Amino acid sequence: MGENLLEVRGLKKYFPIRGGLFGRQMGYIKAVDGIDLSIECGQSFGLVGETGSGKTTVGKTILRLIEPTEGQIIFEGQNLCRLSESEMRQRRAEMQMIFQNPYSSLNPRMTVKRIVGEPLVIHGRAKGRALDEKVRELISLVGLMEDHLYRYPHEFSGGQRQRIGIARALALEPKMLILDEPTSALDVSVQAQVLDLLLDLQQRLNLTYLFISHDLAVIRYICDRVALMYMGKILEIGAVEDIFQQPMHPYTRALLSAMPVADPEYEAEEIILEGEISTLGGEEGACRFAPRCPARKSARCTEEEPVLKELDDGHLVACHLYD
Amino acid sequence: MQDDLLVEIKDLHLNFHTFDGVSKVLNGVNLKIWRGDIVGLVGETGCGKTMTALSIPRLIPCPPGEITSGQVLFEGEDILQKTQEEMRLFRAKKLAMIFQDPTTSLNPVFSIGEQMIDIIGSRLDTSRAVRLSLLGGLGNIVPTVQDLRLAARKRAIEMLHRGGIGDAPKRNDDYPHQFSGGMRQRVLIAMALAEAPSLLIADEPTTALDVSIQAQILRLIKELVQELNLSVLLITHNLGVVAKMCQRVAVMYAGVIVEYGSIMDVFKNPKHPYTIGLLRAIPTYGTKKGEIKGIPGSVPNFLHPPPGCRFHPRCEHAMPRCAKEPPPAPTEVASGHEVSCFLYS
Repeated sequence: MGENLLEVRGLKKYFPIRGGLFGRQMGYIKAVDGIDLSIECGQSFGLVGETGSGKTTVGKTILRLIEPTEGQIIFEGQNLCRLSESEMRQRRAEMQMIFQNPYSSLNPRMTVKRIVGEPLVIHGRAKGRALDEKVRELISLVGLMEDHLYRYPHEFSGGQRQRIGIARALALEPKMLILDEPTSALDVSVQAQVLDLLLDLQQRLNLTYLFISHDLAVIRYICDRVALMYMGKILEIGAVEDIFQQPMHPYTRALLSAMPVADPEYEAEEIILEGEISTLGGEEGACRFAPRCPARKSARCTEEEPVLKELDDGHLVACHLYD
Repeated sequence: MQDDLLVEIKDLHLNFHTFDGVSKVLNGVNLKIWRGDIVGLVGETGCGKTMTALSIPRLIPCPPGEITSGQVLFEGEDILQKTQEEMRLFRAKKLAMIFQDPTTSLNPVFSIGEQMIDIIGSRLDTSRAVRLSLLGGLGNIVPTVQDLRLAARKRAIEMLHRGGIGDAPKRNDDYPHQFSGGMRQRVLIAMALAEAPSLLIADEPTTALDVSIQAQILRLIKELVQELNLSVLLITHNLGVVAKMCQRVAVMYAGVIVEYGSIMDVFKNPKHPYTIGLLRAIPTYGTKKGEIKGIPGSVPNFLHPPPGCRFHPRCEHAMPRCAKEPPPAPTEVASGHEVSCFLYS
C-alpha cells in the first residue's frame, strides 16, 4: 500500500442558475455534490459516468481551474484550497491536465516546439539550449520525431496531437496527470497506441493518473481503482476487478451490461435502464438514481439518501439494498 | 437467392475535386445488402463509410464529388441512371436515414409534429404544391389538404409513440430543443420509419449518446427492424455495437472494403491484416494491461494515397507486390466470407 498522493474530502461545486428580470440567482446546479476520493501514489484512478454526471468538473476543481464551493483537496498533505493564486500556480506544475479534444487544446499559431516548451518558459525552468534539449527529449518520449518540432498542429493527425498534448503536460515533470477523456476523440487503432503510451509513461516516470472517461472498457484496461459517478455523487467505488466482476450498485450493473462487447458470442443478460440522467439535480434527501433504478425496493429510496458503505475491503457502495 | 439481394454496390469509384488535387475517396467498393439483414460497416474516421452509404440515396454532393465508375443496384435497378424526380420518389418510399448528431438533423424552428407531417406528406404521390401546403398556412384552410394533414398528424403521433416517446400527442407540438439527445434520436427514428421503407441507413446512430441511452436506442432499432422487416446498413466505428446488432459486417479501410462476411467469421476468424489489427486494438472483457496493440502509423492521405494496397505501409505482412499492384478483387475464403488481400489470393 502506497501513500495517498491526492485526497479529496467532501468536494462540492454548485453552479448558480441566474434568471428573471435582474439576473437573480434562482437556484443551483449541483455538478459535484460532496465526493470523497483518495488516490495512491503511482495508481491509476478511473472516474466513470455519463454525460453530465460531473466527472469533468471534479477534474477541474482538483486543479482549481474551477473554484470548489466546499471541501478539501489535499495534495501531498497540503490543502490546495487554502493556497493563494500564485502558490497554486506553483503547485499546478505537479499536476497537469490532458484534455479530450486534441484539436482545440493546442494553439494553432504555435509550432510544436513552442507548445511543448511553453510551460517551461512560463515557470522559468529552462531557456536557450537547455530548453531546446528538454523539448527534444519530451518529443521523443511521446514517440514523435525531431522533424515534427517546427510544424503546426494542423499538420498532425488526432493521435499525434494527443501526443503533443501529453508532451506538454509532462514538460514540468508532474507527479500526477488528470486525463479528461484523452482517447474519446480518437479512432480505435490510434486509441490503442495512446493507451499503450500512457501505460508506458506511467511505468517509466512513476506517474499517478486520474483517468476520466465514459468508456468502461478503457477504464478497465488502464485503471487500478474506479469510481462511478451519477449526478454529482459517487455511487460505487472499488478496485477495478471487484467492480467489473462483482458490481453491486444497480446502476453499475446496468451500465456494465449495456456496454457493447466486440464478441458476437458474448451473451449476458442485458439490463436496459429507462429514462435519462437529469442535469438539474435530484430531489433533496432521495437516492438520485431512484427514478431509473430497476431494483428500487422500498419507499426508503425516495426518502433517504444512501451513503457510501464499505462492503468488502475497499469496495464501497451507496445503496439501500445493502443495509 | 438473387431476389433477396436488396442493394449491390459494384466496384464504385468516387473522386472529390479539391483545390489541392483529386482526392480518391472510394477506390472500388463492393458491398451487398440482403433483405432482412443488418449489415455493419466499420472503419476509422475518413475511410469512406459515410460516402459509401450516401451513394445509395445518391446524396453525394456532385460537384465536387464525381462517381467515375461503378454501379449501385437497388432491387436490380441502377440508381445512378435515375432522373431527379425518380430519385425523389425513390428516396421517399424506399429509404430512410438516421444520422449521428440528432441535434443538427432537426429543424429548430418547426415543431416535431410539423416536421413529421412534412415528411409523411412528401411520401404521398401528390404534387409538389400540396406537399408544401401541408406544412401549414393554407393547408389548414383547404378541406382536402386538411384531411391529409389530420391523417398525417395521426400517423405522426402513432410513430412517435412507437418510437418510445411517452405522451406523444403532447410532445408532438414540442420543439427539438425541448428534447434530450436520446429523445431526439427517437424522434428521428420515428420520422425515418413513418412510411415503411425497405432500407434504413443508420450513420453512427448512437455515437453521440451515453452507454445507457445507446442501449435503449439499439434495442428500439432492433425491435423496429424485426417488426417492419427492414434491411439496415449500420455505420459505426464501435465494434461492440456491430457484434451486438449485425448479422454481417464489412470492414473498410481507406476507400476499400477489405473484408466482408458474417460477424462470426469476421470476429472469430479475421483474415485481413487490418481486421486483425483492429480487433487487437480494442480492450474487451478480461483484457490485461499491455495486451492491446495499436496499428502503427495513421490513415493515409487520400490526395496521394500509397501505391498498391493502401494498407501496406501499416501492414506487418506487407510483401513487395503489395506496394506495386492494386489489391486483388475480393476472394472467398469461406462461404460468404470475402477478403481483398494478396495473402489469400
